[in-house]
Amino acid sequence: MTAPYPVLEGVDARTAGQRLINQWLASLNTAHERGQPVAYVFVMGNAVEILRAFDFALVFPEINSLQTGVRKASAEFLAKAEDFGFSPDVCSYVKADVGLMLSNMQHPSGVTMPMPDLAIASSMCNVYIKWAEIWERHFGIPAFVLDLPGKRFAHWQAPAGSRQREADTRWVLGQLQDLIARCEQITGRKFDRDRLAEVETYVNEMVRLWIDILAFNRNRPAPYNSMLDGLTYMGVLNAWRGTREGVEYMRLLHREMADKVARGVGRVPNERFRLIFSGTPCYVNMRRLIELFESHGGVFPAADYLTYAAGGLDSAGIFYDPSRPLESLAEVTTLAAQFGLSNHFFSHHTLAQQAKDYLADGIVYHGIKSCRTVATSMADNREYVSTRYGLPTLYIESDLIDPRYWSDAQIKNRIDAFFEVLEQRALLANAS
Amino acid sequence: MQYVAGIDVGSTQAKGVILDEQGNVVGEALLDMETNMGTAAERVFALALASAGIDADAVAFTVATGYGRYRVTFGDLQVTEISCHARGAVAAFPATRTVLDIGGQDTKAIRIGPSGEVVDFAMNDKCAAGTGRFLGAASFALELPLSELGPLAMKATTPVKITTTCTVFAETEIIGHLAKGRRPEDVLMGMHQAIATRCASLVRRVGLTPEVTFTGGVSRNEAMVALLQEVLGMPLNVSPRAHFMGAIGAGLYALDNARAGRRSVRVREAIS
Amino acid sequence: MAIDAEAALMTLLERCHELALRNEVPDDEYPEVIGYFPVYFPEEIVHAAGLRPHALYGGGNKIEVRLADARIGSFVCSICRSTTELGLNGTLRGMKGFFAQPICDAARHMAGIWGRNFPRQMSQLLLLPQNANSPATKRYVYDEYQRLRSELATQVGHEISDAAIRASVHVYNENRRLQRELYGIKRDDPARLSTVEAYLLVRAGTRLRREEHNVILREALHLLTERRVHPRDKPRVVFLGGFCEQPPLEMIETIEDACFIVDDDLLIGQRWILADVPEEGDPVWALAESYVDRSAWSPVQYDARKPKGEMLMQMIREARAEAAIITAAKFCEPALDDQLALAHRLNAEKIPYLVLEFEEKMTSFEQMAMQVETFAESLLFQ
Repeated sequence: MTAPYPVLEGVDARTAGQRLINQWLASLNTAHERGQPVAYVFVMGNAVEILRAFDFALVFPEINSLQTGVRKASAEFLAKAEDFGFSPDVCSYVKADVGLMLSNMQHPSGVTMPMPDLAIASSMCNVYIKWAEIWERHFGIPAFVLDLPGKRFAHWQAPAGSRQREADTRWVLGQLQDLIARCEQITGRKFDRDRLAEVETYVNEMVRLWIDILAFNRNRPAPYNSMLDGLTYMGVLNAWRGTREGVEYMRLLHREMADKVARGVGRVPNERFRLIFSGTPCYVNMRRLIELFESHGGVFPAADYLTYAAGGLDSAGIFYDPSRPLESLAEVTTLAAQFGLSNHFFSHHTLAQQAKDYLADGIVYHGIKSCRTVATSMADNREYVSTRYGLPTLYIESDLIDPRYWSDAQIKNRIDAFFEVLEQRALLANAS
Repeated sequence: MQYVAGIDVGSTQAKGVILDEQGNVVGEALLDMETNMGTAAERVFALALASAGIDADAVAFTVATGYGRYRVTFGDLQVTEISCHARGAVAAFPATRTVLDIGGQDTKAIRIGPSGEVVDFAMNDKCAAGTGRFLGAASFALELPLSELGPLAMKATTPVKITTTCTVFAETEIIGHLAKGRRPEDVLMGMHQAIATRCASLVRRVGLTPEVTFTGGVSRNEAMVALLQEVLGMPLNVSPRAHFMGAIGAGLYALDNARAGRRSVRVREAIS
Repeated sequence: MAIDAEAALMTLLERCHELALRNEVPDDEYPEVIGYFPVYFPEEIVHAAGLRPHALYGGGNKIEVRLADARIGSFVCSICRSTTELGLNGTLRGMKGFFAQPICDAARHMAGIWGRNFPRQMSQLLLLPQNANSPATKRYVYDEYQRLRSELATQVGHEISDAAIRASVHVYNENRRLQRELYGIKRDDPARLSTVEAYLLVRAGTRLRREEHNVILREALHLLTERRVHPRDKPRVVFLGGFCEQPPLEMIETIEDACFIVDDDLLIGQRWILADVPEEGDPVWALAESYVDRSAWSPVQYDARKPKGEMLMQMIREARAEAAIITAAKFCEPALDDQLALAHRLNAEKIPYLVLEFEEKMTSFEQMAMQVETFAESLLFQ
């Protein structure tokens, strides 16, 4: 970890990020040719560290699906899945992936997605499991379901040394051991504990830098917009987790952000209002959604998406211990699941706390039509937070990638009205 | 004397009002929407001016609201109809703390703070059920004009429960009930009840706080008013000017700007 | 004699009907009530604590949802809204606790919604695993059950002994045997016992202490033997889709007008454990092991040993059915995802099937009746 990685030399973080993503996608095209086994994984709960130790190529079907939205090709993929027989109410990510399977794995990015040798679904989203069952039937491979025990209730604690923490960690460790046996079977290689330890040191460094980067946005003005720039950072964090390149990228990003903070440079030229974003992006209208806020001087310094869709590692509270790589993997994975990935159901206090920490003027809830993990209790959460904490909140709704659920005039209307509320509030606050 | 204008370009109708320096309505006009929102706005503005007996040069500032607010070429400022309906409702009923606006295409519930400012809002703008369009389906199925629906519904004795939540299927359901011999007034009351329930839910989302002012075209429907009062458990303020609430609110925002010394670009150009 | 038996059976079924649809849990309810959301919950542990487990199956088609719509997103199944409504309108005010299991994403949210709105009721997720295939699974379920036991012990203010749990297991084993007998009649002699009747008998148990339910089931089984049966020639079908949100009774009746439902997944959580739970040794371990190794299947549970297509074929074979009715509650992601896979399998096996969507709050069934009749006719004319 001495000289910077060649592909990242002399470029800014944005370019570096794009290059890394493109490189990763291109490598998927030739994974099987190179003799690399392929794993399908999800962003909320996977065991990438173990997979790296076996040198699996990583495919993130969620990223494949969101890319169909970003590239404005999602309508076609969704139509294929619906023509095939899937109900319109099924998760649009799943349908886009079915569309991909029905298109001979030809992805709009130009990559022919390789077929999986292993699929890992975690229990952090129940639809992951149904999705994995679809792969089982389509690709003829058995899914590996990683059951991660999350938070049981809002004030859940599992202190170190407690029986509960031990029981949950033991469960995850047992499954990771099963996974290792499965990987050995598939790849014909023996598990390399040292390689796992090495991967973990890279992850530790990436997460340490990531936590800092998340915290940089507590400054005024916020150096990046979590729901636009943050999405790219997260993409690299996921696809390059546990690699030297990933570390170099995070270092580059960290330097740039630290510099922006030092110079007081904000993402939005006239930062007027700071908002917390709860929910996922609308990938098919990603820029437009943010533009509707930025045009009013609104920026998102924080978003819960950056926690749960990046593995929740910023919430685990501890780092991997490379001297006990497997045991600490189980421990950190469990804590990340409990305090990062399964917080959707009990996020009312954490959102309010975030609003405080990031000096936010309000919270925007983005409900997703086809994602019940994100949207089911948003209205209730919003009601609780706005009543209990007196914070202005906005509720808008669209979908991850289904363009049929984006109604520009209606969404703009709600956003405009929300800023009118914020302006009024600011006026009254100044007057008193 | 100078005047200000408020133009509300909605999806079904365009409305315009002219206010004087004290905020009184001195001219108003209403048109059914045409395909070109810009020309509809110009026409309704011209009609409102004629109704006030003044011409365009006398208007110091114009605020446009409604979905078509960005198409109003002569508008000096755009303000959402959420803020405008709230403003208009508070002007008509100063003790207003909650506004329910059931329009042709969407429905809004707005909570108002002690200084008349919008604190929170909730909208039903995706689904036609719970909006005036649901009644439109009834009007079509029963072959009756919208204005007759309320009075007829009030004659119901045993309202039919309407379970469909989709306007598209509502017509089928109505016809089905009529075919089974249910009386039109009972079916119609069922439709009204379905709307009232959905709207009450929207109001609860922002928090039901008296006084509640009911605005929008559907507020002229006596059955709707009676039902909502029952479902919400409190009286509702209803204005005979309900259609113009948004435009009046827009006019009042225009008045704020005029009083602050801002002038319409049109006027500034005319002067120089 | 037979007429008295029929009358007695009707009286029993009426009582069961009232119980089955009863949702009210008043403040002074005794024994105290612990509510749980579908599908499966280890009731024995609650029973051993001296509490009554209260399965929450939604508000059906008699409830008006007024308050819950402001709390729950629009593209969510009706059972989530109606259950929340039952909480918000005070129907469940006497409940002491609420548990949801990770059957789907909407259900997981129920624990959060409940906790925010009813802070005086214990609201938790019981995290049953979605990985049944690890050697470590049973230990995990055991630990999660022990956690439940300790939470309930705190609630009642005393320890729950192994002996108490074993005694509860004994009562529930009897209950499951009686339910299996009922289902046996439905399968082997469907003219003797309709699915609606079996349904009411099973669902009534969720409002009684299990000991009382055992008495009712034994009585019903006895009366059924005396019933005069009129043979009918209707196609034999299996029904899927009733594992969580419940189809209205009228819908089941509509289907039964045209077919014999010889097996189904209605209220499957009540029959989730398929054989006796061992009554010797550590009772919590016995329950955990039974959950992992002696349990049914549904769209909300992943188990590599139970691929859905296989399980459906097995169900059809064992019930000697000729066709399947595959339903899903509106917006139910797990059921909707499985529907397609099951349809494809049935196509491959050349078994006729009908796919339907329903909502618990439906009140008109003409359209559905037409589809079912047409389907039944096509079976008869094969």
